[in-house]
Amino acid sequence: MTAETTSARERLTRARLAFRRWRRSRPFWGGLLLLLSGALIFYSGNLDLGNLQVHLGLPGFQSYVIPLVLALCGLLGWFSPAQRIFYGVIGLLAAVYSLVGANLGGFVLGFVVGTFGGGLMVAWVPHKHPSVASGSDTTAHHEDIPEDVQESQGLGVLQPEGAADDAGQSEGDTTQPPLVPTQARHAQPDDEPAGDDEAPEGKQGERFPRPRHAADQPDVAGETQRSISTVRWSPRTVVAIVTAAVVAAIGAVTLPTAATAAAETCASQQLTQLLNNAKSGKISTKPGAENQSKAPSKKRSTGTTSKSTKSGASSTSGSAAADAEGSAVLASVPAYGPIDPITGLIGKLLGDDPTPDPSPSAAPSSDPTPDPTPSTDPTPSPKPSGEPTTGKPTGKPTDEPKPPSGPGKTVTPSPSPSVICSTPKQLDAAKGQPNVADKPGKMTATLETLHGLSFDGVVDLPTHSGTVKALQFSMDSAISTPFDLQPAPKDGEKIDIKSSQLTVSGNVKFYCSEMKGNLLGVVPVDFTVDSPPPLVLQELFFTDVTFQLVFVYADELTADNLDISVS
Amino acid sequence: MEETEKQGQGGTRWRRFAAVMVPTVAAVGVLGAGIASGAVPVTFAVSGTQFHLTAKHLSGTDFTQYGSVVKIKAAGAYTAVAESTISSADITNLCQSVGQPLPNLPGVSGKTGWLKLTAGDQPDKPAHATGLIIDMTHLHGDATFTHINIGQDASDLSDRGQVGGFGQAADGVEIEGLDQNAWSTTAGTFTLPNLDLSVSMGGAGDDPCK
Repeated sequence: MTAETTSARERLTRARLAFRRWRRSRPFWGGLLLLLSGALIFYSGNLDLGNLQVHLGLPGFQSYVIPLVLALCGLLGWFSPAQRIFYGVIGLLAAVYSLVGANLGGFVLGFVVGTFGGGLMVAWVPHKHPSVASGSDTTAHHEDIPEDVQESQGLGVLQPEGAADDAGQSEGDTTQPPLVPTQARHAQPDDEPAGDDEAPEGKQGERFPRPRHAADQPDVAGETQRSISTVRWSPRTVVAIVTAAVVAAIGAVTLPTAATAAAETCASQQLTQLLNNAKSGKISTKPGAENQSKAPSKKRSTGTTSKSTKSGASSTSGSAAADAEGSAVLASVPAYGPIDPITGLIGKLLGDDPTPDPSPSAAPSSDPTPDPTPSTDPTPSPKPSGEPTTGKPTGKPTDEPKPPSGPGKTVTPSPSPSVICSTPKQLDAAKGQPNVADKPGKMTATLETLHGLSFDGVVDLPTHSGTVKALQFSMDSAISTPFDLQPAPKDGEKIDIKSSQLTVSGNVKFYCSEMKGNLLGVVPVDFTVDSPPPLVLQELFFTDVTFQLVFVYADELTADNLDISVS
Repeated sequence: MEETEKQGQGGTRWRRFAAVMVPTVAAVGVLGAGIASGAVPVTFAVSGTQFHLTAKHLSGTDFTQYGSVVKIKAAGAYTAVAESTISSADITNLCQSVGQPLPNLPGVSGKTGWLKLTAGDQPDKPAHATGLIIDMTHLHGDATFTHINIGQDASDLSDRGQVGGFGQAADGVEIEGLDQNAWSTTAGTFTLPNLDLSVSMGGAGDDPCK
């Protein structure tokens, strides 16, 4: 029992002694402080280590690199003391740079610790006698140390040191220009004492018996002292140059700004539009088909007619024309299918007939044809050139005058907007319309006052994955009291944006897929894309209104007591 | 034995230490003066704990805000944030504070250590930040935006926004009486005239930036 405890105690003492020896044979405190400063700076950027969050971008990158450099300088200084000046200076510079590069040097603390650590590492000097933090020093004390401790020492010190020495060797080789002889590195520990000649222990003789280095360079002695002392500073100058280069490199890395590639979907759309317009014979097929599925609106129907007009004009001959006109007829059918207040109006404008689907579209096609092969079209009920569609218009010759008036008004404007960035639809999305979110946000207000309001129609706004339908309003200004917006959560995050009074003004474009509330405070209404508002007044207000908000643009938005919270 | 040990080992040469530290301190003095006067910008990347930021006035350009990927793992649950970016901002009376519960040691247990940073308290010399990315959980203030888009696709606003996410973007932003809580702040550069950094100890509610 007692024997065991004593042996345990002995072992402990030996371990402590061994550690002390290990500690004293290298710039221990400098390395420790550098490690600590690395940890402090890292911690300053990641205040809760349990909740690590990756920092992105260059500032985030620096918040990892600087602590890493500091910690590495500390460790390498331990395991490769021969290079301590290099590591010390790099650590010192990294600590100073952390002041601007990483949270004010870990809120100053990490910077202070790192500076001291680097300074201490540079200032550490091996004592004159035999060896410096190398295997030889442990062997020197073999007699004093029992086997087990020797072994642990061997494992603890010799092995990592050997590895570190290798690393140090290669590093030293790369950092030192060919001009500096390799002996300079080895001579370094030797010349430290020389620098300390003024120090009390001026035992010159002790400098020479250096088992390890002396073997490497037997000529490191009195007469070479001078040449060495001239060489002496060169490693340091090299270090200074290298570190300056490192700092410059860091600085250079700091400059580039992240390039933001704004995807211009517009351009490609425009291009395809232009191409399509160029070969109008083909284009009429496409928009016609697309229009089939869309709810009607004024611009849209005119767009259709204008297209069919164009196609009719261009299709002077044969089968191409048949194709084009056939599609035009198809397109016109849905245009008059659903009868809403608005479409009814449009219908009247265009010459509203009971349900004579094809007549309007067919009529324009026959109308502009005058140039090429026209005259035959209206009168002979059979097809002039084998076109099935032309048979229909003849059925209602009386309608003929009206339809042209409809398209006549709008033929000129419609082609030009279609060239502008937009997909063909009832209402073209405004030029430069950015992609909108997949799902609308829910916007509510107790009182919503709208000034200079107009309802423009139904529009397909582009999203990343397609389009989303929305009612488009234009207004001079709108005031929501109080305002609340909850964007559709994308990944479970719930964001709530509130304001006691929010005002949007100046060229306001307001897109929503649904608008539900009490019109003028009394009439409950629920406008959707399928049942758009029949008419709007310039000045309107709603109470307890809920919008499915797709998109809003405004020149200016002011939000009193804006409050964004996340849950 | 002591003698031999000593001979085989090393020690610190304080003269050399002084020789290294004197130029360092001088350089740091110049650098520190530059930082504190706002001449030298610094970089920030802080995350992992709730911190509090207030300002009398913030005036920025190229503002975006969108719901961000839930990415902070706190106590086993994910926390959502609203991510906000401002490419350039002037901030007057900036005050930022972080509170950290102190370890359970005698004298300090149960208390909170507060770190407070203030800058830009002169209206003509505001603090200036570029490349600001803030993951916030709460924001309050009287705001004015110019040329604002509401409902824009978040992935078009930032690489970090989600495809199809609901986002806001504005050319300009002005916020009076800004008060926000955030999980992380990253700033490419921060110039901090009249920088003042202080540490205090108090209760969990003694936020120095009120």
